[in-house]
Amino acid sequence: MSVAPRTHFLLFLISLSSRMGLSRYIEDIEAADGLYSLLSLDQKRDSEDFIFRRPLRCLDMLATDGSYTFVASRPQLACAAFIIAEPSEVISLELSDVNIDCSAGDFIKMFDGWVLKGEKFPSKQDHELPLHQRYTDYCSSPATGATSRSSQNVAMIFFRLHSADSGFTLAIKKLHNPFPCNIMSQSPEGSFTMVLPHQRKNCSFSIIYPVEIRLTDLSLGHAKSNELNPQRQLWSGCSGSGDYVELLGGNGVDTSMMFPVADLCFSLSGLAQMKIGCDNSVVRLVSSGNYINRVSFQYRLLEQSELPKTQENALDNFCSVE
Amino acid sequence: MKLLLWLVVLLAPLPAECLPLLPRHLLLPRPLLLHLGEELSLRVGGGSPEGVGEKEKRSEEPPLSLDLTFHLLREVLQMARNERLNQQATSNRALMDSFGK
Repeated sequence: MSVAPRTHFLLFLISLSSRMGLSRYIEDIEAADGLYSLLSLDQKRDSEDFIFRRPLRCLDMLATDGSYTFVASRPQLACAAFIIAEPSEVISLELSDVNIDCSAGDFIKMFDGWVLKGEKFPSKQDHELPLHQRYTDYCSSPATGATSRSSQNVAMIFFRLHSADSGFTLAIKKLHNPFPCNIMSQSPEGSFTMVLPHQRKNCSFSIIYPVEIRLTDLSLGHAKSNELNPQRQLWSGCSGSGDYVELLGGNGVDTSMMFPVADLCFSLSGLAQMKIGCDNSVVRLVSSGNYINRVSFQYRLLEQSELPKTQENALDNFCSVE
Repeated sequence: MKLLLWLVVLLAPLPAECLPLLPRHLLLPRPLLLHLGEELSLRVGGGSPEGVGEKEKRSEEPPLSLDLTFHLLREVLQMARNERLNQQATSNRALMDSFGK
């Protein structure tokens, strides 16, 4: 094949692969087992002892892989456990040794996300599944209702047991997620880079603390950072723009009910920071799917003395922002 | 070989949050758990728990929710993080014991 047709053919292949999102961002090196990989086969067989086990509490927060067993000592009508993993992980849940009476009103339901005071994270707008598909009900179908996998790093389980000695075992395993979207931070300090390669969706990074957020890098598809517009302020509205980043603040976990405090719709190479004195601070990347978008940021906990002062005589019940 | 293993252990990635590890008996502060029992409520079926014997309509979306303040949520989250760090330390110790066999 001569050079020109070959060039055209290669360009055609490259354009196809970019449309499919095949790029270096897809490279997913399998999560290394770390020290575990240095064990011999016999030692690995003995590693069953390494599985973390403890009783599950009626109200619980689980951040460790392992096996949790709940046995009711008395009727337990209102129990729930939050489950959280690292930002780049999703959660696999498996029920076993289930001893409940569904006909008596017992239930075990797993939810793909968190529910807090009626608000859901991720919000309905940001999750790929409709709300009813985010629930897995064991009693509806014990065969398929015993396992669930979350779409992000948080999940939840609700259960109600009417009889003493009824119970179940919940196994938690975390799996690597190469493109995290909708993340709940475990800590009030840290840094993260969110990448959306040709994906038409909105992703939120939620920090349930008042924090100072510093955007260190922002790369959006329709980058026009070289076009100087002195009259255009950094925090001008991005409505109508295809891809942008917005900072949200609020006192719930549902990002669709939070207040937008700032947004950026052009690439940023410098430093932009904001103090959000809310119970929940969110960095949200809105992506059309036409480009590879990336946002990097750092965040740290605001001390009490650093919280932005609320405006006096303010009518809206909005947490302070600076 | 042992030197290599020690180098691997020393260079193994540590969690970003290197918080001081708490003794096991301090991981489950009873006053906090009791406080949680008083503070939280689980809403089922539109605001009030259903009576014993009533069946939920499984075809409907179950309006489950947990009423927990952010303050308490952060407390239990911190407890869970401490538990994970303690477990990781225990697991590393067991692995090192295996290396020594």
